[in-house]
Amino acid sequence: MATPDDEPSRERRFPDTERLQRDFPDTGAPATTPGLVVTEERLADGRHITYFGIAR
Amino acid sequence: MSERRYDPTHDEWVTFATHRQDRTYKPPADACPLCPTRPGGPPTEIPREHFEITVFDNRFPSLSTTPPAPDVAGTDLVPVEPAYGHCEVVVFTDEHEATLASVGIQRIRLLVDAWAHRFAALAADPRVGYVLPFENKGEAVGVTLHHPHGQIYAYPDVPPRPAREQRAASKHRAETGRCVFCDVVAQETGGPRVVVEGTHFLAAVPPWARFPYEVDLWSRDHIGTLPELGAAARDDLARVLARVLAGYDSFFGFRTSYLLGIHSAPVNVAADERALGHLHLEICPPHRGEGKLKYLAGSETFGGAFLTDVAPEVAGARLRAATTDVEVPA
Repeated sequence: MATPDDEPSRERRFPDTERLQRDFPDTGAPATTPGLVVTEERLADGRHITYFGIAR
Repeated sequence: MSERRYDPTHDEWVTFATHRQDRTYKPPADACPLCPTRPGGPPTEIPREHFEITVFDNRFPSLSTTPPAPDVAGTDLVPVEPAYGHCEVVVFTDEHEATLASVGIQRIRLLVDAWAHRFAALAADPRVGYVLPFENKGEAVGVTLHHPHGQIYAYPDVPPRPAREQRAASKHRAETGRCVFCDVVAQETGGPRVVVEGTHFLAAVPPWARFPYEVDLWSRDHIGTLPELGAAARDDLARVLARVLAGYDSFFGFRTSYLLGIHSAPVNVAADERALGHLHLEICPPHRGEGKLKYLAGSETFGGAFLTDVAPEVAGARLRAATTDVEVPA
């Protein structure tokens, strides 16, 4: 079964509300940044790389 | 070798990462590993032509999620363990000659989001006890890559200085029922050491500054970690930090070297311990004047007792004047 780490690229909008509320349960309303795009990939040697940008 | 050895005489761990001796050392600009990979150019760490902010696992980590077995056997007195943890590189821009002071408020705002995102991701590892984003900037503090970047370390426990903060916060709370940082913010607001007054963050030379022009940015609200910051607080942090950094360059008249660290609440600890943490940034330039550096000498290294040549009130007034009229890139 594929796991998230098996995916070559994942793009998702931030904030990841579900994850924030799980890991930081006493967090209030999570911050929202209009247009924020987070893309997670793997480098050729397997290391993680994450790109942060603003969609324009 | 990548291992941690316990110092029972000081109750702290020391990490040995001997492979880092081979890391890239002051490469020329056309061989920078943190620049984007240009068409026809050599591949770098970042396989894109353009990017805004990029975070990736350090090729030469001090701490690793798959550390090798220690080279030496530990003892009951001096335990030795694999150096578990995470080390990430945060590249602030694809422009080699930029600095965090020059990239502008919008980019720093994006950086706050990136810090918060990675903090949450690293804190999700139950073996992590503390997440420390930091930037070492400039040759005066030993930087080996000049491309604007910082790092994030996720330690398996709380490092000595944040641990001392926790103990101090616990003592203050036991004595007063209040957060020591909240009391500091209340005392310093409007005072002679203020550098920049934000709505959510206060930047000031602390009364106990260890470096002549140290500036701390304290959250006005009792917030423990970056992911807990709301949008307005993130906006304000970006504005205040951009102004402080621009003010440094204006005051000194050159690209200021500094160490910048973000102190937060520990992670994967009991709620009452975590509640003691109060988010703040510490910025420590080594400069005490043009051509003059503050070194960690005998008193600081062996005594742990800092001696500072500039009164915090004088430093605060000078930096406040420098930040008031400085042009801050949007």
